Amino acid sequence: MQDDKLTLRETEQLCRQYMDCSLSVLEETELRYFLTQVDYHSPLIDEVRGIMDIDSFISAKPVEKVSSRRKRMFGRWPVYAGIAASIAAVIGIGASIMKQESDTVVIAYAQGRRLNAEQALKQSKADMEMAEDFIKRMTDIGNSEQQIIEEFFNTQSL
Amino acid sequence: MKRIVFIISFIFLSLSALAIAPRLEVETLFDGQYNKEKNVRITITRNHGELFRVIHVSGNSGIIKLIEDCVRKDLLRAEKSVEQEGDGGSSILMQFVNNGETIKIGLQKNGDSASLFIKGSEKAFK
Repeated sequence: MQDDKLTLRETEQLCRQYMDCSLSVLEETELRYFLTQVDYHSPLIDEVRGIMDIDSFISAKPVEKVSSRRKRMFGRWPVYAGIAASIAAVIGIGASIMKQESDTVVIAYAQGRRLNAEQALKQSKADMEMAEDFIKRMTDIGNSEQQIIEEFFNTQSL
Repeated sequence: MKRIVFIISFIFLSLSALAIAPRLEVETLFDGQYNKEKNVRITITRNHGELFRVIHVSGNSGIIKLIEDCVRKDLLRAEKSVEQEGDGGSSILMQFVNNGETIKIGLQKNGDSASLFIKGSEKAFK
């Protein structure tokens, strides 16, 4: 996604998946960033921008027309919403099972620019090692302090 | 027929609602607002169902203060936490449980630089 710009259709497809809650946290973050960088507009894309609370760098064209089809559907929204929710739940469960089998995905930024895959992976590995060392060190500190407190109370109770 | 469809749909919605996102303050740091900052380094990694995010800031006290404020707000909700201060720096490790999964958040501040990471399975954040 770094240099290859998505087409309007591909962007709308991603927005549709976002509305179906079938995007992962990582993909939602990418979509949010992408929508701030492009001037694609459609009712669906603008709706997603509104939900994400994005102030686009490019001013949006006003959406003036509401389709008559949407007006007719509005009267039957409870049934359609229920059917859509059921389908979304089934798709979401299937998609989540498939996504767990996907490869590692890394997104990284440094000095104000996005890194390529190799640089991102290298940065990710270094950060993970730092985090693991930090967790171990702080956990040891917490355990030793807990032990000191327990020994203190044991001493007091004698 | 409509009533049956509605009831079945409602059951599905109720089940899906059992999984609630933790909505941690520190997660807002990774919404893209700092990607273009020169003094900031951000890494987001998804690996076999695990989500790992890191933000490292140096020489920008404004952003570091914002990170600290987010951490302090989330600290009130943490199930476990360990804090350490000394040698010109401070460290905080917090632990949350959401959707049956553990989330660990660490903040390390030293002088004019700070690093924050969020580590947990993707299920914990949904």
